[in-house]
Amino acid sequence: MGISWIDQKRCNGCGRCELICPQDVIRLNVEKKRAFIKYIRDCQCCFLCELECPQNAVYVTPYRERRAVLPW
Amino acid sequence: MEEIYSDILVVGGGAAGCFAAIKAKQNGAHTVLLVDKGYVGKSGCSKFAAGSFKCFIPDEDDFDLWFGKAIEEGYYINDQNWTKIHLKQVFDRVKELNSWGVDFLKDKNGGFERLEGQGSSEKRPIKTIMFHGPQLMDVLRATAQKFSVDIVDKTMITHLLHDKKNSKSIAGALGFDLRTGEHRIFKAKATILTAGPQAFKSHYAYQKMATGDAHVMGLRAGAELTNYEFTCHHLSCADFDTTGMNVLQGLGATFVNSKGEPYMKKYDPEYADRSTMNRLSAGMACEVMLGNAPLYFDFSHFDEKSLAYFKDTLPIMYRAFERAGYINNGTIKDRVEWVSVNMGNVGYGGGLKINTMCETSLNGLFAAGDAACGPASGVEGFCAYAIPFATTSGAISGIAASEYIKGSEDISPSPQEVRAYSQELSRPLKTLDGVEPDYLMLKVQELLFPMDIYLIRHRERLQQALARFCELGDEFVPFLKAYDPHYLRMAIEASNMVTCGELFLRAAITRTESRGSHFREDYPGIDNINWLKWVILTEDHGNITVSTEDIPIETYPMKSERKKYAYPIAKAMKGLE
Repeated sequence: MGISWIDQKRCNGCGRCELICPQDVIRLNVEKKRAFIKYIRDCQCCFLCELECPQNAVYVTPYRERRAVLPW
Repeated sequence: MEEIYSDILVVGGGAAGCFAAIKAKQNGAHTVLLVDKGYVGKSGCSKFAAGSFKCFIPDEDDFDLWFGKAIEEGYYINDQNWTKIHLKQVFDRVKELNSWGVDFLKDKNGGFERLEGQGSSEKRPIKTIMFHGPQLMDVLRATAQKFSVDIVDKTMITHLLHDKKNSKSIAGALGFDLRTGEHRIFKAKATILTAGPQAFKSHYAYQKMATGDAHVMGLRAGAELTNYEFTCHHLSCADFDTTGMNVLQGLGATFVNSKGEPYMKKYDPEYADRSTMNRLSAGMACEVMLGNAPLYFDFSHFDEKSLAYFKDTLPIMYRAFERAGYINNGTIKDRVEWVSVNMGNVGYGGGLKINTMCETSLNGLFAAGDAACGPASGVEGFCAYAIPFATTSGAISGIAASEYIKGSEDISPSPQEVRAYSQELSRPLKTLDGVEPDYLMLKVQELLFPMDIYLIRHRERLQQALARFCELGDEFVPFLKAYDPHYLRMAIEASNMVTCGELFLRAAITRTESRGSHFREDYPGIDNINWLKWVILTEDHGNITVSTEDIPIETYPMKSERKKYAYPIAKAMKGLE
C-alpha cells in the first residue's frame, strides 16, 4: 500500500511532499493546487512526506505495494 | 540541449556528495555543482542513517585494536592504507559535523557518549557514538549552500562523457530532468561519483533509490570495479522493511528461533547476538536448514526507557512499528519475525576501485562513499561504517578533485557520445510496446534474493542465475518501456540492477574460496595462499571482463599467514550435522 492517503481538504498545495519524495511518487495538480499520489508502486514507505507535511494531510503505512522477495 | 559548466561536478547528494562538494569549495574550486535524482538533503541512503556512527576517538580508543579488528573483519581484503587514513581522519569529520550543527549524544562531561553495538565485546570493545539521524542531511544541505555549492535537484545523471581529445579523461556527464524529461550536458573538469551502492531495491528500509547508478556509469566509461562478490547482509522485519537494528540490539533486543531459543552463540561464540552481519545472516540460514524457522527479534527485555530511546533515535521506524500494531499504548510486541536481506553493496563491498586519493582508473573521475569499493572496510567492516566512510572519503575526494583541476587543461565532452547517449536515453520513451521496469526488477530479485544464491553459494546455482541475467540483459533491457520521465528513471534503475546482478555473479563465480560474506558451499575454506586478491571487473565492447589483482599484503602492517583456514560458519554448520 505504501503512502495511503493525501487528504485533499487539508492539502494546501505547497508542494513540499512532491519536492522531497526520494522515489518521485507524488505529483502536484497545478490547477487544483493539490498533491496526489501518482506512482504508488514506487513508494518506499519512508514517511518523509508525512513527517514534513505542514498540514498533516499525509498518511503512510509501512507496507510496500510491491511484493517483497524473501530469502526463505 | 542545455549545457551547464562547473569546475567540479558531484553526482549524488548524500553524505559523501555533500562532503565532497563542501571540501572542494573550501579548497578553492570556483564552481561546484551537486546533482541528485532526488532532493539533496532528503535523498540517498544517508538520509535514513539510523544514527550509529563508528568513530575512532584518538584520546579514548586503542588504535591497534580498531585497526586490527577492521582488517580482521575485512578478511584482509581491505586496502590497509585506506583503513589507516580513515581511522586517523574520521574524528575530525565528526567534530566538523558537530560544528555545522549535527547533534551528537553527549555524556555529562560534554564528551561523546559511547555505546555498545555490533562488533563489540568485553574483550575487544569497539564502541559507537550516536548522532541525530534525521537531522544529518538537512544540516549537510544547509552547509553546502552556505559554502556556495550550486545544487541541482531532481536530475538524474545517467552517462559519463569522455573528453573529445582524450578517451581516458572524463569531461562531464549527461542526465535528464525528472519532471520535464529534458536532457542536460554537465561539463566539468573533474567529476566525483557518490551516487551510492546497488541495493537491488531489497527488503530493507529506504534504499530503493540505491540502484548502482555510479557503478554502471563508471563501468561503461571504462573504470574498474572491485569487491562485487561481497554483498552486505542485513536483517529486517519479515512483514515490512526496517532499519536501525544496531540501535535496537544496543537496547537489548536479541535473536531467537521458533522454539524461543537464542541461537547465535552456536555460530559466533565471542560476539553471539552482536556478531557481524554476514555471520548473523549465515546463522539464520543454518537455523532455517535445521527446521527452526520462523526466526524472531526478541524485544521482551525492553523497558520504558528502551522504548523512549527507540522513539527518540529512530522516529520513523518507531512510527512504522506503531502503524503495524507492534507498539501499542507504550508497550512493544515481545517477538517480531525477522529475516536476512541481501542489500547488495550498501555500506561495504562492490564499487569503483579507488586509490587513497579517491581517484578511479580514469583521469578526472573520482569516487567516494558507497560509489567506491569499500577499501577501508574490506568485505564486512564494523556495522555503522558507511556514514563514517562517506565523510572521510567524501572529504578526500573533494580536496583531491580541487587539486586535480588546478593543473588540468580545457575539456570538452565528446559530441558523438552526447548524441549517442541522448538517443539511448530517449529510446524507452519511444518504445511503443515494451517491458515495464517492474518486471525486470522482480526478476532480478527472484534470482538474487534466495538464500542459496547470496548466503550459501555454489558454482552450479550461480551459473544458472548468470545465464538468466544474460538473457534479461540481451532480450529485455533493450525493450524497456517508459511512459514518462519517472518511468525512464525506473527503466534505467532496472537496467542497472540487471548489470550489477551480472557483476555480482561473475565475481562470485570467480572467487573459488570462502571469505566474509562470500560463502561458497563448494569451496568452504578461506584460502590465503591463492586468494589474497581483488576481483576486478571492467567492460570491454559491452561485455564484462573479469581479472584479479594481488593484494600487496607484504607491504601492509597486518600480514595474514599464507595458509588455508576453515570458514567459521562452515565449521559451525559441520558441527550441526
